[in-house]
Amino acid sequence: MNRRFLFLAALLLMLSGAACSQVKPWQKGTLSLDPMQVDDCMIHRFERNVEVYREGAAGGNGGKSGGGCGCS
Amino acid sequence: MFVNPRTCLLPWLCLMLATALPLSAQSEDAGKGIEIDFLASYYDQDGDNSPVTGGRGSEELQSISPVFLVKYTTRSGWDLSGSLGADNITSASTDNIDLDRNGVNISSASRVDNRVFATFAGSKAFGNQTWGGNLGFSKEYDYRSLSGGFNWSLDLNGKNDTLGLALNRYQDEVELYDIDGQVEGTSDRETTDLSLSWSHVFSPKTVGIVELSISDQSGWLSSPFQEVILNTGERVQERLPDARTRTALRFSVNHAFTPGVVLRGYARYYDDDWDITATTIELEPHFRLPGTRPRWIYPILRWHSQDGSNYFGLPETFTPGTEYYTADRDLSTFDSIKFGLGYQTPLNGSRIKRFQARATYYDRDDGLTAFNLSFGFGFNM
Repeated sequence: MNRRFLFLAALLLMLSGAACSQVKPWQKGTLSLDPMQVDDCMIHRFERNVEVYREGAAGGNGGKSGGGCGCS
Repeated sequence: MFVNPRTCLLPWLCLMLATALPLSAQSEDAGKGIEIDFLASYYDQDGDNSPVTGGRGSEELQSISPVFLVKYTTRSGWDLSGSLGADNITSASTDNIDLDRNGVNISSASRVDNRVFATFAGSKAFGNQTWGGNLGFSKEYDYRSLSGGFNWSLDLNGKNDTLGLALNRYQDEVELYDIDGQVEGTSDRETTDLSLSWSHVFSPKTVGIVELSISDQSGWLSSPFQEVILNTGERVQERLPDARTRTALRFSVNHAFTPGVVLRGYARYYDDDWDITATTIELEPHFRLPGTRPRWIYPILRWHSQDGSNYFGLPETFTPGTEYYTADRDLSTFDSIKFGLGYQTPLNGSRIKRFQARATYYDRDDGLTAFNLSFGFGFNM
C-alpha cells in the first residue's frame, strides 16, 4: 500500500507541475538531446526482454508481456 | 522441432533488402532516407534453481540475438518500420524437454534452440494526432505467436503534453512438452495489452512520462515441461491458473542539470492477481564526453524488489492435493540489482551514423546471475 501511495504522490506531483508549465519551441533545445528522450534507447530492448522472462513482474515499460517461452 | 536459423532468416533478409532497395531511389524526394539499424546482444546467465528440474539444477543459459530494424518515411508522411530478428539459445536445462521423434535429446548445452521474429508497423500524423498499427510474428520450437495492434497519440499544449493509447493482442500456440519430453498436443494462450500514457514537458530541462499498463492473459499459462517435486518425492508437472491480469504504473523523469549532465530516472509499481507485487527503480546519469560530437557515457543502476506468488514453493513443500504449484523462481520473492555501463555516439563521415553499447551485470539474491552485452549500429541509406 505504501508503494501505491508513493506512485500516486508522484502522479499528483506531475499533475501539479503540468498546471504551470508552457515551454516554447525555441526553449526545447536541451529536450532534443538523446538522453532526454522518454523512450528507452534501442538496445535497451534486449534487457527489457530478459526482465519479462526472469521477473514475474512484467509490463509498464512499453515491452510486450505475451509470446515467447524463455525457458531455462 | 529444430529450426535452422538460416532457413528462417534468409527469406526474410531477401524480402527486406528487396523492399529497401527500390525505396532508396525515392529517398531523396522524400527528404528522409531509409534508416537501418543492426542490433545484437549476448546474454549469459547461471544459477542453481532451474524449474525444468523441479527447482534444483543448473539454470545456465546463453543467448545471442541479432536484430535488423528498417525505418522509412514516405513522401505522404507515413512512417513505416519493420524488424527481423532471432534468438539463438543454448541452455543446460532444456536437455530435459527437447526430444526428437526417436526420443533422443536434440537440445543441450552443446546444441541450440532458435526463436525467429518479425514485426511491421506504420503510423501517420494527422494534425495533432498520430495513428498507427502493427503486426508481428514469432516462432520457436514449441511456441508460435501472432500479434497485432494499434496506437494513437494526441499532442496538446503546444506539444508540451502527449496522451498515448496502445492496444496489442497476442494469439499464441504452445506445444505441450511434458516433463518427460513427450508432446501432449497444443494449447492456446491469448494476451491483450493496453497502455495509457501521458508525457509532459515540465521545463526546458525536464520531461516526464506516466504510463499505466494492463495486461490480460488467458489459456495455457504454465510451462508444461517445468516440474515440481512434491513432499512425497513425486515429480509432477507445474500447475498454474489459466488466467492472469497484470497492472503496472511507470513514472519516468529525465532532467538535464547542464547540457552535459542528464539524469534518466525510472520507477515502476507492479501488481497482478497471482499475488505478485514489485517495485523497480532505475537511474542512468548520462555524462557528455568532451569534443564536438555528442558522445555520452553513463553508468546503469537498477533495483528490483518482488513479493512472490503463493503458487511458488521450494522443492518438497507442496502436497499432492494442492491446486496450483510451481518451482519457478521468476515468480518467487526476491530482490535483484543490475549495474553496468552504456555509451552512445553519432558518427559523421561514414555510412554508419550512430553507435550505442550497453554492458550490464545482474545479481538476484536467490543466486541467479547474468551478464548482458548489447550494441547497435545505425545506417542512413
